[in-house]
Amino acid sequence: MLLQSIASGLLVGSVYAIIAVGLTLIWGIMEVVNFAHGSYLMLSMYICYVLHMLMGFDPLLSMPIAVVILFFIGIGTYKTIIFRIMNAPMLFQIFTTFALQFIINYTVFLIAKPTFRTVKITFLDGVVKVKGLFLDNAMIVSALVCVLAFLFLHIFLQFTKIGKGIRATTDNPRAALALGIDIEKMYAYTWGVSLALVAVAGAILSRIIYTHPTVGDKFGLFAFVAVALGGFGSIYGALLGGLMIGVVTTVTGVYAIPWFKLPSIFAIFILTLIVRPRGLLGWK
Amino acid sequence: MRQKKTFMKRGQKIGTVLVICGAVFGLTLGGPAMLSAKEVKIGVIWPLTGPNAYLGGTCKSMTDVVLDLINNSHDIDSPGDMFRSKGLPNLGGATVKFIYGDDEAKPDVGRSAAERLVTVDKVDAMQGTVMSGVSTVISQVTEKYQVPIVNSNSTSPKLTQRGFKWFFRTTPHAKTFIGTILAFLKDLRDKKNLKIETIAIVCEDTQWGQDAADVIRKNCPKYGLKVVVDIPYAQESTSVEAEVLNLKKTNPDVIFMSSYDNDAILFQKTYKKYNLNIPIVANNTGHTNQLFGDTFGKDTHFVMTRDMWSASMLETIPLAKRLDEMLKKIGFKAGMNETTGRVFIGTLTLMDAINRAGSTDKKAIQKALQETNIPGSYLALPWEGVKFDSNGQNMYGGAIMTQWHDRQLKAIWPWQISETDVVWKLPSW
Repeated sequence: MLLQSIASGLLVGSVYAIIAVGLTLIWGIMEVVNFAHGSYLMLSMYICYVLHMLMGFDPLLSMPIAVVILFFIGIGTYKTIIFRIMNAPMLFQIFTTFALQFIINYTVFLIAKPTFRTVKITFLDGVVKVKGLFLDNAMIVSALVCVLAFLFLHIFLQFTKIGKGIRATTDNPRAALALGIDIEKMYAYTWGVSLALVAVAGAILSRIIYTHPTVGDKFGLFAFVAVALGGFGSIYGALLGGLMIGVVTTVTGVYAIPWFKLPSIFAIFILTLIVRPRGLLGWK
Repeated sequence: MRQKKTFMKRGQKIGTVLVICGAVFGLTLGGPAMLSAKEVKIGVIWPLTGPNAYLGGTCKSMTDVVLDLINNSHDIDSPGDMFRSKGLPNLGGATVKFIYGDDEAKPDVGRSAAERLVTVDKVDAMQGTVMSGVSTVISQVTEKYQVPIVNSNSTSPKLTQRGFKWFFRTTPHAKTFIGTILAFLKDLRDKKNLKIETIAIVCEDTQWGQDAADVIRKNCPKYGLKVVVDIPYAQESTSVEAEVLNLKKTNPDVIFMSSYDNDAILFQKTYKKYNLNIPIVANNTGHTNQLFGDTFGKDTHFVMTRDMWSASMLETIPLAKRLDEMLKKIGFKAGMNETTGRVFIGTLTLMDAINRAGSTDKKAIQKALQETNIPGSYLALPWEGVKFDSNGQNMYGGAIMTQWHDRQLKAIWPWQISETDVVWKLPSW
């Protein structure tokens, strides 16, 4: 049962991880806390739901479309709103992204109403049994997609011109500017890439759980904890944090008092802050 | 002398006319609309959107049917023969108008809806809602403004333990229902010689679920059942992996669940994923709606639930058959079920009270509700009738047990009304 709990937790945690990586990208590169992150996840879920209803697409097939749409929404968000608050006090930035969260949620609320909607899965459904462990096909696919997304992100940041520009901007924005890197463009691309990652998670989640206007809020909260656990600004920290949340919630729910499942994440988070304030893999 | 007599005759005529005018004047102005009310406004709150939108839509379908029954003429027996005339007969044929509010299954939204209906729309009475947590808040509004409200679906016992004078509930509450479930399990164990000794409680964490959990936890020992694990879970959870793995680890003889629609579906999917083959007895709602049956088909996997309806009642209760036809005619394909049956009884009770009051005066309606005594023959479910105790709780009404067989719920207990044998030892998924 412990192995099953850990396996299930890792599969669930892979989705939390990819949401968290998107969040930590923005923080690590721009030091902006994006409270609307969960709302963009919700947008991705609705895009996949609408494509499913109109064209019959499975969300895995809609994923590239959702990724492209959210990428450009991310760039648009930066160029219209975020660039104005880059030099504003942190509290101002927090309130701005908080307001963005409410505006997105309630706009969708008005259009789509708060009815819960589900996608009917017709392929890659069911369960496989591996050495006594029950592994959900949908979750295995999710985990594989997350791994691919991480690999793509790694390659993008390490080997592409834009990726190198983003890393240079992170290390030293003034030096990057002096070297002729358009840092405004790098920030816009960062938002685009962050939301593209969230779009991947949204496509995966729309196959598993119901879509409704506030579904992203819970995942946004988990993402914050994963980022703080792993260390603000660390992509691999966010990955580790997300996986830890998945495993801790599942194992606690099985072996401890079930209602302690959610509080356990925050208990671990507080413990990490006390023992290692910069997070598990955070920068010094 | 003749002048005096003529004057007196004229005076008597004038006096008589004045008295008659005064009487007519007094009758027509004697308080809020009496016999000549043109319209009776009822505020009705259901969860029309949100996580319980399917349930809310079900309830609204039945209130729409009752509205048609009241405002148009139908050859159906009813208290005061309301259905055979157009409008409410004792209010001069006044038309009934339902003004709907949506609570989205949230207490704060329900409160706003109730406030609007009472203070802006100025309704004469109210009905609603479904979720006990929301009904608690809505009834606080109606109690404050002294507006009579009938609740037909919320089952938390606490709702009629608050000393409220304007809240009336037609449905039985959790103590009655849990008693039915426990009596069934005991009977099953004794008569069928099955091992039913340990039970897991898996209930959603709002008032409805936790009240049910409290009642069953306290009463299990009386029926020889030991609670081996108690799992409250967050309503609208996005994952129940931990909960289901915990159940697999604990391996009780039976699982008791109180879940709304989406949670019931999520749990059932996760049970199948982990090949959990433990019998489930549910506290209705998410496990009774046709949405559950349509979503899972054969993967309903013989879930049992306390219920008040079975398909055989379409043959044994003629009114139920008529209502079933009317529901399908307005597009509600699922037709009659326990939810629509209870809503019918609640709405009928309210209409009967207003009709007997002969007035839209709220105190008159309250008094009429207190004096309600509707025989079972007028109801769409096999209850003895509707009669309220001093707490506003209907003293009648009971439950049966049903079990999903593919997409259909079939009565399994009490034995004398069972349509099929109980499937207790579950096959593979």
